[in-house]
Amino acid sequence: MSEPTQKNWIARRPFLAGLLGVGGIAAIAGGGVIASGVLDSRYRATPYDDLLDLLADRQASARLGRAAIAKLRAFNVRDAAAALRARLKTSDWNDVVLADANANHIVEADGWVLPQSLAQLCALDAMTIHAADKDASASTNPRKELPK
Amino acid sequence: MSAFTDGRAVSNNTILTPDLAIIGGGPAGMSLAMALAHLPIKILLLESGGMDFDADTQALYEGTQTGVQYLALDGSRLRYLGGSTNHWGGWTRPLDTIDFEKRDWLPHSGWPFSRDALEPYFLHAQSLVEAGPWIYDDQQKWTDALGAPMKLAPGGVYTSYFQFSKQKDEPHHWPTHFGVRYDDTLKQQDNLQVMLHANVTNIGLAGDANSVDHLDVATLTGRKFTVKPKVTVLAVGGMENPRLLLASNDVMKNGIGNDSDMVGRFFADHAIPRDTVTLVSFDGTLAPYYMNPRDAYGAHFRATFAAHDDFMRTRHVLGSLSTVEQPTKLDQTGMDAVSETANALGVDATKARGFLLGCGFELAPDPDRRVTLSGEKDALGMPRLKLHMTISDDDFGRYRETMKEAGRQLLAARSGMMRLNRSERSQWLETLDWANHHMGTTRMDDDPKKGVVDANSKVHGVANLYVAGSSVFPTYGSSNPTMNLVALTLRLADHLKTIFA
Repeated sequence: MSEPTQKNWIARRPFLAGLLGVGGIAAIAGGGVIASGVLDSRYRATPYDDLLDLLADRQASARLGRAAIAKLRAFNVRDAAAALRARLKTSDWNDVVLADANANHIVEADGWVLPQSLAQLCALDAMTIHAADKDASASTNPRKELPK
Repeated sequence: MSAFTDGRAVSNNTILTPDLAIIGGGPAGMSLAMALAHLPIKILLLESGGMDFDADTQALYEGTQTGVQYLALDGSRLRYLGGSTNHWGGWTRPLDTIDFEKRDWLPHSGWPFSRDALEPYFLHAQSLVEAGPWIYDDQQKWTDALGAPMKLAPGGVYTSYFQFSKQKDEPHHWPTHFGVRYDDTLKQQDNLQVMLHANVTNIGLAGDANSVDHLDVATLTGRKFTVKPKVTVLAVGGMENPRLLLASNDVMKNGIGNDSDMVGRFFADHAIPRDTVTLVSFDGTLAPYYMNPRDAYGAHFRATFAAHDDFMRTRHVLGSLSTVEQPTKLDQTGMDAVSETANALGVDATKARGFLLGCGFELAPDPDRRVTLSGEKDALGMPRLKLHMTISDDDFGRYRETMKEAGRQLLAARSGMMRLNRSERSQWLETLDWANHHMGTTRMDDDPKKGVVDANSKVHGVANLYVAGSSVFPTYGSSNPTMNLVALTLRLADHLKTIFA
């Protein structure tokens, strides 16, 4: 087991070879979806980018977040962001997550047992991406461009 | 050396008069007979079957069932010398301390004695089932031999260890089949007569109902004879023990030991749902003894995830033992969960591997989970059994709570993570199997209103009738019962020595 670092150890989605079959590896490598630069460019700036930058893969975390939202009581984006920022003033992200595990602050997402802070950040990502998608959808709606 | 005798050769109306009659030649009955060797008493062990499987004899086990799906009653046990050790898997682990405790939050819990009462008998029982030296949770030994266990942060779950029965001189890890392994031992016992093909169909009480007067014995060939022992030990398993007590109703209308309607209630087994949990090891490593048994120090052993007694006490959960069954691949959500979690914890998961876990877990005692007599009769005229099987949502929930704690401990150790694969009752039932561990139907309690036998395994209200086997377990633990019931039987043997002294 490698030692944790103060910063995220990986800048893009880790290549989880051990969790995939040969076909899965080929599909992912061939599809090129691990190229984070391509993914990053899709996201609009949000008021929460300081937090969302902590995630390895916005799409992955958003998918996970959608599963987590159902298990987070009265989840509110602003409150969650404020709480996470408050904790990050005195601890780095890795320590915040680890502290949740030690304190039994646990949330399930699709059965996966997650530290609460990670589940909250993933949920925040899901909500942000969802909102951004709606904005994007609205801006490209041809009916909006019709002359009055 | 005396050869075994055959009940089919005994003349009708014969009366045999041993000091001790043992009904049943399974691990309990055989262990008891061997433990009482060389006492100056005559022992008669009556076994329904012969030395091998016989379909007609096995059919005596047939019965019906209602409730949650369970195994066929004639399919989960074997009726010939050696009993169900003829098909057991050999999994061995002692009961935990908490298994004997009365817990206020668990109705009907509590043995009349603590685990300490069995301690003097464990090593002997371990030698009889041939599970190697007593190592179990001496984790350092296994680590020294084959590497460290999965790293778990302090908490409610730990790596425990099964040991396996391995019959002497058998090269293929064949679990000890008592009938094969100990037939010569029994034959060498001067004070013992083993009679095969001899079915006890009735325990006849004396007129005052306070003692056993005689046993009615029948064979499938139509012979009938009588045994008049001074003391009788019933040792025919967790289903047949209550069956014979209930069916012996010529003096006591509700059956023997059944004044409080307790005989046959509280039937239990270990639930074995499959694929309950997905475990991910972030660095991909997992000691080899998790997934398959390994050999060290003359023992055949395998790791399992167990709950600490303190965790069970404080979180009000019951025993469970989860084993790694096979590698698995993750779906998209799983991949997402692993990548984000490893990143958040600051660990490398590029070599992560996933594994599916199975388990066996303890049920809470339930008086409505029971065996009763049905209207049908077997070839000997004995009423057949009807089983009503239950498992509650709380039973599933308690196990789930334990594995959620294990998942937390993996995160806190930054070694891995878990997915709880089953939530809804229908999901649990999809893969639910049972362990063939029949327990609880003649439960032990000092209070005759709450149990069938007392702390010495004597049937309440009957001076000379005892019950051996896991049917006396009032709560069940998560450990496999065979070695434990043998230990309990050896304790009974010591008690009987005082009776015959």
